[in-house]
Amino acid sequence: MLRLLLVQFGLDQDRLELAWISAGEAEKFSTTINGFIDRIIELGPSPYRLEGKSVKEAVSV
Amino acid sequence: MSEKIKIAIAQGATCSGCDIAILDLDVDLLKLFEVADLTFAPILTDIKFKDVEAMKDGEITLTLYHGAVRNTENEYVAKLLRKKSKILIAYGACAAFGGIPGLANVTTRENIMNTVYEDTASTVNPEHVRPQTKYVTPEGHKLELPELFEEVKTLDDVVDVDYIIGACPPTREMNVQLLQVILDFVSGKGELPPKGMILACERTLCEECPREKPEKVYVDEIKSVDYTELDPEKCFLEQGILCFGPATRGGCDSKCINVNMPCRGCMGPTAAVMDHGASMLSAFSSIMKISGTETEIPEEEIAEFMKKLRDPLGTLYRFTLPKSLLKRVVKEQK
Repeated sequence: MLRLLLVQFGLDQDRLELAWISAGEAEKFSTTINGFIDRIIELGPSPYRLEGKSVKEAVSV
Repeated sequence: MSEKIKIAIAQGATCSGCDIAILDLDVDLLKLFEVADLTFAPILTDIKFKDVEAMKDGEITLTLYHGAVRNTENEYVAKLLRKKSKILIAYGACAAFGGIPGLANVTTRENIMNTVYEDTASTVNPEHVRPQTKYVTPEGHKLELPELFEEVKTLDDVVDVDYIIGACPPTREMNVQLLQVILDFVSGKGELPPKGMILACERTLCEECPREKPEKVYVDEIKSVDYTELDPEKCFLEQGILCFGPATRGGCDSKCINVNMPCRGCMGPTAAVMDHGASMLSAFSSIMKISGTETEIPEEEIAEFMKKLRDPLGTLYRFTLPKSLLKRVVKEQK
């Protein structure tokens, strides 16, 4: 539901991830986090961070 | 007999439901006018902006400002009345949290202009004519229209606000309470409440809801009021309906619940909450009954289940979008 909401706000749905990892699954933890970081870097800064630019510029992303 | 205090009712981006709510005091208004003179009140009196400009700072004892701040005129009125008033109250959900006009933050000013002046089915505007905010007529008259802001703001985004009264509109009982505070203050019997106070319960609506609260609530299927027959006795959450009660302040006498409609959150969030919609989202999703253990729930099943909540943004932020953490939508819709 949070994902649906964030998409409505204009954020790409890949910016939200939920993973269930126990303290003993170290490798899964680092792969998940690194994969997520790569995805986010690809997506670029959040449209909400484009402060200083006019809203119009931010919206045309 | 001591001199009457001056009061005013100012408008922002409003539907004027709050003006009607004040008038619904009907006979009790006589008590008000025994101690107060209504000065600026566009819907009731003919006093102009220049008359208010001519008043001394703080000459008006109390102003109720209703409506959101959506254009330059709304902001001008807010700043003018703040200057001329001792006490300024953000009256109604729009002034307090943004209200329904606040939902315009899902779009942009340009989209709004395009829709209004071109895209609607009955509009013919091949030359893309737009209204001008400044125009000098051939005879030399200067005409002005307010400029629309890029986003909707609340009253306390533009001026210092003394008190807040939420609800859409404030109920008669809330108005009677407000009236009593005014009367007590004028007669010297009572003091003003501490600044920043909101006229509402500290607790949520669930406390005062007359319906029986079940031990456990599980939502089998999310339902919507427009296609569900509503049971007048059961808790709405039990019926799968998203009722804003758990996340919203009480103090409105559960008026909506009493006519078999779920709460929509117009009294705003409790003090402990930063974001009204997120608070309700959290409460509602915590009672979802989805099969399987936490690690096994198939993504598709969850998606199907959640789809039944049409328009999460509009439902969760119906009255409080400008006060939410994200405040507005960033990408263009469609």
